Amino acid sequence: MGLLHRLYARAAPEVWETETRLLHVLRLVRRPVAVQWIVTAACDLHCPHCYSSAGKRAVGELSTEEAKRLIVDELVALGKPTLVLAGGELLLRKDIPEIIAYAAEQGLEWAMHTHGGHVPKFRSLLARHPPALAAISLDGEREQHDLFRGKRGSFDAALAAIRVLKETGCREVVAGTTVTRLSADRVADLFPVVAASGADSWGLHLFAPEGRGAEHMALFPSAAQLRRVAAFARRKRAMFHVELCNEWGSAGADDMYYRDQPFLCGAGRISCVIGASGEVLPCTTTDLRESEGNLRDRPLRQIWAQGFTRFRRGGNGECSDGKECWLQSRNGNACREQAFGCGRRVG
Amino acid sequence: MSARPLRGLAAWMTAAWVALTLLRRLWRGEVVVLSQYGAPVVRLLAIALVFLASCAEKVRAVQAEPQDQDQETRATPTPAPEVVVDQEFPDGLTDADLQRAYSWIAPRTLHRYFYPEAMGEVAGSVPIGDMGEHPLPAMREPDEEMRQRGEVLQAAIDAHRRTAHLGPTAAELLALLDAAEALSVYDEWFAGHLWRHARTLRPAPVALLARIERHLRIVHALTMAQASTGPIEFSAWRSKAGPPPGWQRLRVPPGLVAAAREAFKQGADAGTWESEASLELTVARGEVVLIKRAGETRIAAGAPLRLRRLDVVRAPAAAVLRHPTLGELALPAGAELGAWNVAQFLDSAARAWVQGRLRAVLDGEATAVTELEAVLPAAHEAIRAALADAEGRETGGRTAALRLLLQAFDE
Repeated sequence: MGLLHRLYARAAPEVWETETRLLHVLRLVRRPVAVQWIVTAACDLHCPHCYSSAGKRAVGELSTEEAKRLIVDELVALGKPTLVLAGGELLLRKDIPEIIAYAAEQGLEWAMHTHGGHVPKFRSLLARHPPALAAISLDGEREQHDLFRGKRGSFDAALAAIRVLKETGCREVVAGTTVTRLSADRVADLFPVVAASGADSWGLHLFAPEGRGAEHMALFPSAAQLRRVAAFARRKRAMFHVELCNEWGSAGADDMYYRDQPFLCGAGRISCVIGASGEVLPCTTTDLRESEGNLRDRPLRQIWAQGFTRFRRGGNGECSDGKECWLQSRNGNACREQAFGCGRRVG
Repeated sequence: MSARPLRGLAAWMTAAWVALTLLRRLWRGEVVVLSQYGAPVVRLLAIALVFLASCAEKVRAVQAEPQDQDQETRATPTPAPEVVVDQEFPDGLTDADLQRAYSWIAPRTLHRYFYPEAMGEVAGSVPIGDMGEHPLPAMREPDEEMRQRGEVLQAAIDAHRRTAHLGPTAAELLALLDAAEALSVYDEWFAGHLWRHARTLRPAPVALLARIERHLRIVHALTMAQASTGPIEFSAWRSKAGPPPGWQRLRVPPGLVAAAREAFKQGADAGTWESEASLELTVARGEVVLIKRAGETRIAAGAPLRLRRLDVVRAPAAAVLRHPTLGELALPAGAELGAWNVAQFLDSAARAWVQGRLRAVLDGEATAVTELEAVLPAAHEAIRAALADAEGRETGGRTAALRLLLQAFDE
């Protein structure tokens, strides 16, 4: 296995591409590794970059029984990928302990993305069923974070959430920062906060103009900011586990400086997103034109097997070159070239 | 009938059944989710195809290679070394050494034993030398030799703490580096730390700078090696999924050191210390000596010169360097120029330009940040002064960009 692993790691993007083409020819699809469910659109914060335009509960959100039957049971049949619970704010949903307990009973690993404000209230649940991964949003130092999130005290709540999650046995707690034009030049000030927070790693997301973010296009960082933050992340990896998340796209041969494993876009290939009302989407977009179907109409297994074909063809195409973040590419953001100079050096 | 032909028949029938099932499915256009047993088979097939394609590529490259390969090598002059400093990958280093070192001091954590300098110094908010007292962790079941080496490193750190505020000597910093490397501790932050503490030493400690560069090249080679062997640590961000049950946080992948040695041999450089915060100059008049990796190169008038943070430029006689934005830098005979003291050689117009750009940053002009970034060795002193001046004043977060820039120079 050592030799095979090295052969794979040496040319992971090429192997991935070849495998994609093989699977397409043989009419096979990979089993999902992670399926994210937007548990609710309800949220008590009002962040300008929110990809799901969260605020009020959406019309037609899945019921408890539907969540168990249409999501958890289907995931078990799909080989038990990690169930990633996100929102809105997932912990505002009253039946979330019941759904988590049910998923755990079925042997599913689960993860969550939260702003952290309600985590301490769920200490006993988290201790009983610790998530494999929890991502807590941290968008700046206290003043900047609270201003951006629109609620005083949310910064302290996020730090408290990180502590509670570590104390209750979560295997990987990550602090997640969305890099915007406002926060890009302030990441150096945030570093000591993240490093001292107790988080295991720091994921630098990149603003994507989806959902409410589409109303704030000016938040997209400038080319110089993208390059500076990428260089910052590379340097800080000497001191902390910092990763540039998928929205940044691939740095090609330079990926090793920004992440532990080469970039591979998982949208529709190894992961998908289930919207609050059951729409199955390739990634964290709220644009229903991208939906491959609704869980209420067709089982997830069927949607997964038959949908997302444009992501699975292989070759250079809008969704299948495996180098761009699909969301950024869809919105015409050439962030890859700007951050890593991919047009010039790698690619 | 013996068992052997029966087994053969069964194998053929199974293969035929698989082929027929596949053909039937393809004919009907059915799409099937890969089973947990099928996935490795497809992955194996993909690896084999990619491997064969890369072999074919290599064969083609060898056939197309020109015969006279050493022409360029002959044309390049070898600089005469001022001091001989080992620039090789450490001979005896093994995967087991790294595993032991990382199990003792986890990757990316060495700075914690130098806290709070690691967090504050580079932001300009904590004076260099103001370090806390954090002893190294206890080793797990060390042998006698390891225990002794651990004591040597702890003693070197303690000595460093005592003398840091007075300005350490090159010998003390080298002793610290030796003690760390004797335990296979390779750490980029640590190399930067030594470089920062060597900033006031005159003449510039070229042997120490060369050793720091070697250390950084080894760290870079280890990073490059992980691209082929797999990472030392688990990465959470790949698929939004968490680590698998039973996962171990730290595991040096087999073959890491061999791959790093190869990357080093292929020319792994000092990473961001090679690519960031350098100054592109031209020798306008006279001649200077560039000292890089302890090797000297004479650079005559008209030739370009790239001053990295790990380099030193000496002027045996008066010389003038030119920068497209900063103008001329006049070096008197015997002058020594390094990344730390560039500002000392700027003329008044260049100093005024730097100050103007600093004010523009504080006024919120985004392009000024990029302009200062391009001349960091010339601007870092002024940035430090501006940050000290702004301390305690409300700047609407505009000094944050200056701290980010300063870190690009310091780290």
